[in-house]
Amino acid sequence: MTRAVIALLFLLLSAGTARAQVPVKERQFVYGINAFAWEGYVGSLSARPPHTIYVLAGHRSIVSARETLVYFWPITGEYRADWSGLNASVDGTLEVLQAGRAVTVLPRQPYVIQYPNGPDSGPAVLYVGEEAARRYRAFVEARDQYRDALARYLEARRQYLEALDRAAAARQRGVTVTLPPAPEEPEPFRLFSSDVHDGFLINLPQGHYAIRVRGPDGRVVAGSQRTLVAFTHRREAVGFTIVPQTRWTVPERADEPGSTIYARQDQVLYFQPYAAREYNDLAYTRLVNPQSAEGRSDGWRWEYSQSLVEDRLQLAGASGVQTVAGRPYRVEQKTGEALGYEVIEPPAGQTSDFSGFKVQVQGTLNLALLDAAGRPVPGSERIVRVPRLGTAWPLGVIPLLPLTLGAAVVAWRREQVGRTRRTREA
Amino acid sequence: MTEPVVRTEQLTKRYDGLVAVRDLEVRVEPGEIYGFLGPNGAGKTTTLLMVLGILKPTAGRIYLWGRPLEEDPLAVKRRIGVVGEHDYVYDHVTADEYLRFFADLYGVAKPAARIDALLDRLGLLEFRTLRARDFSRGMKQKLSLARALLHEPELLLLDEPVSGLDPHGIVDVRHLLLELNRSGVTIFISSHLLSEVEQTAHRVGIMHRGRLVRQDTIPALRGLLRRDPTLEVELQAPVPDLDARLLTLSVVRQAQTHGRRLVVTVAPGADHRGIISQAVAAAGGVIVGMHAHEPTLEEAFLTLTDAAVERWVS
Amino acid sequence: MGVVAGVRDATRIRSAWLISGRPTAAMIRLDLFSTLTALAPYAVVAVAAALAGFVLQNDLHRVQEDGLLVIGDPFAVSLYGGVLLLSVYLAASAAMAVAREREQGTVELLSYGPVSAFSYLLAKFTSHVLQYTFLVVLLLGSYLLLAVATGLHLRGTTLLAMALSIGPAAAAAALGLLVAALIRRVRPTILAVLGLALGTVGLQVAREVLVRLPAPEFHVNPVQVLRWAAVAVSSITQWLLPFGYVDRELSVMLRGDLAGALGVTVAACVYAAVVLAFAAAGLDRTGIRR
Repeated sequence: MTRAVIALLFLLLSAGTARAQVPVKERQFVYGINAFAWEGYVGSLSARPPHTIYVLAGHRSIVSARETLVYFWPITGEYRADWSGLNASVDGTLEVLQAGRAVTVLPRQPYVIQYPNGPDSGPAVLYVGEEAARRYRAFVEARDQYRDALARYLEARRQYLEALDRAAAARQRGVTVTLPPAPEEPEPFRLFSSDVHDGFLINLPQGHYAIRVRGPDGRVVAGSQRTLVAFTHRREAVGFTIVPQTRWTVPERADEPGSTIYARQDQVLYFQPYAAREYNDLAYTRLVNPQSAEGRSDGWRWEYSQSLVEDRLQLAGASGVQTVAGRPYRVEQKTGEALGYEVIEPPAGQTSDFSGFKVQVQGTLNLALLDAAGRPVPGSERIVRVPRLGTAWPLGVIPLLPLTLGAAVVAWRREQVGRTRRTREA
Repeated sequence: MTEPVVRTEQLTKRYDGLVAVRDLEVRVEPGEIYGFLGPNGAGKTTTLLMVLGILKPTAGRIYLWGRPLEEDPLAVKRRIGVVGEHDYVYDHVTADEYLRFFADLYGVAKPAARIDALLDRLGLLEFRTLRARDFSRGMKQKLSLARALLHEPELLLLDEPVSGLDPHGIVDVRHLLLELNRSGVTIFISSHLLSEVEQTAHRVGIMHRGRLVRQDTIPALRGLLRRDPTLEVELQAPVPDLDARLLTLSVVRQAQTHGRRLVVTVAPGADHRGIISQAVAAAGGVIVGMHAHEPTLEEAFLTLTDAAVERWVS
Repeated sequence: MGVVAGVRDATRIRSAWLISGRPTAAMIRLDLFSTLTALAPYAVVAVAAALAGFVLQNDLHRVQEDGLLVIGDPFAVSLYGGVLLLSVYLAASAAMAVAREREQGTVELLSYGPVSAFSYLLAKFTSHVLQYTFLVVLLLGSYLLLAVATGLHLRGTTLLAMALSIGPAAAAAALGLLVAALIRRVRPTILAVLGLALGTVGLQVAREVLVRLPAPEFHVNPVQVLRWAAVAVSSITQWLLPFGYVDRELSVMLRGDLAGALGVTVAACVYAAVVLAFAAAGLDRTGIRR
């Protein structure tokens, strides 16, 4: 027992010691990965030990061959790159092999990833080659123009505010002054772009591959061998993001076509459909982070791929079948002293906070998204149920039923044997 | 010539250097009651378990009804009824359920009637719906016997069948065994109760330290010990110096008095009761009873299992 | 000629039934009677039902508080817990039945008659599988009542998963019999079975924890060694121990993969057959005497 305790302490100490040390940095060949993942490009690292690279089959992803300083970061338990310490591009071509045979040889080319609606919203777009450089130049130009416009606006605003002050002072003296028009703020600049880097554009069919970099001298760059897995989805369906009116900031997702939605009676829900695809859990987890220890090889998960623009949702319930149109909605704080908020359709000229199909829950409902021809979109069927939210005592009583049955059986058995004993004593 | 019901050939069982049974050659003939005797640790139960196929012999073979045991042990066991050394019972069933289960196991036809008859015969009918675990030792023994007889076996193997029974129970079982034997059942009894075996067995095998010391009929075993005849005399009152007076007679080999009991060994070949009577009367004694002493099985057993005699026998 | 061969086959079958089948059937009936007239199996079902009640109560609470609950199968967690609990109980019950009978001497009693080690264990195995079937039906009844009481839907896949769980449960019973065949006494047998069950769970937990513990691979670190050992051992035990089959069958069936679940059930049945054969050999070797 004492030895076990000492061994455990030793283990914990060494783990703790690992945390306290300054990270050891090692110069390594790595692949910087920008993997396509529907909602954007996921940046990750494949260092030594060689982590398998996962990419979506049939979609464009980028792997960059670099040399950098790699260190182990114990807090997150991952290998990280010190790009600021060293970030050297490795020259060469990328060989892609399958079952020992070369499938393709990819040249290095410039690329840029841009987010038209900003880095936190909307899909990203990958540009490669000449277009990457052009798009980047356009981004820089647009950004500079915005900066100039913003500077002008700020100057005009400053002058406007000074004019307002002067007008107010003149009014006090009884002088009427015509105010200059308020300056218009330039449209927000949403476009976000990465810098132009170089890398290899990967777009492979489903399969297992081996990749390596061959340098200009014809030799394979040491440490560049990796396994690359291009995987695809198992199923497609329609998923829904469901926004409950009472907690609109905490939506739920109904990815799985077989999932059931439970809601209170008269609860108002807003359904936002999207196209979903089912991927292997392990593969998708490693797509997002090749160093992740999570993910089950026999598990599956649904992932958002893109929003859907169908405009009708069919509801079938006890009161019959009806269709609901998708609309924009806005959240307004209640006026006065009342707490809470209201969800309303935005008045003209006002922006919306979200859009969706409004459903008021009235008993069990079968719903399905309808396409333009009025047919249910496959995989969009869901069912909404209203559970019984009354008293909880039946849940305590029901488990006693098997026990009661057992007790009855035991009592019957005892009675069978016990009766004769009394006869014998008589 | 009919095959013996049980025959063993050079049957041996070793446990890590200890030899429990050595080169055993037993024959049990059809229709006989065979007594299997021996002190504790002689190897009787080991032999029984090997015959049942529960223990594997180290060497030798076992034949039942002329066929090797390993040929079809399950089919052979359907012809055997066994009362083991211990009275094992299921602790959660009644006596009736216990017997019904074994009737089911053996595929007994009309089990209810058979069970009723056996319970009645063994005096357990009124206890049939009691839990078997609540039975006394003797009742469990009877219940085991009922179980062994359910399927009307041709061979009964009994290990201490009357252990735990009161004198009435012992007599009951003895009569039952004799009855069964008369109907053709071969019975193999392993027992310490030599007096019981003497009253029932046709032949006896005596085990000692793993060996079969002797296997013969009871009269033949007694005959091994028949030397000079012995007279047992019961006196009205003890007579002083009677031993010495009797030893002066030429026909008297040995004389011993224990209170009112006198045991005299005389020369063979003639009836010396008259001479002895006269000598006792002359010494002032009054004889109230006299009979010739026959060697018992117990005496034969004790003699044969005596180490010194064992050497003589071998 | 065909008729003669047919009659001969029928005689052989009848003979086999009389010699082996009937005794096995008798032992199955006795065993079922004794186990189902005790309180323990009903108590286990009650605990499983209580677990389900607790889980469902939490789901209802979420609906009450958040106004919304999206869930694939509200009975999934309960099913996992219930089936695992019943499987562990089955393994322990089978082990204890043999160990107790050995200690009491009733196994020796049976061996006086037309009962072999294999037919004895087959009877124990069959009676326990039938017992499990009965308990699953009881549990299903409890789930149905809970579904009615809560309004949470009991899906067809849940019913199928329960039905197919008989395969992995049979594997658990076979393991219990193997342990009892190799270990003679009651208490060490029970401890061994519970140890294997808890060990399986503990190993899974340890694996999950160790895999997440930080451990660089260009330093020598005991966590690396432990992690490797945990992964290696659990990848073996998930096939060697029946509780892995329970986990796989349920997770595959709850995903709606009927073919996969049937495959796991068949694999579990093969496992049960192999382990049962080992148990019979083990019982022959260790002997039936107490």
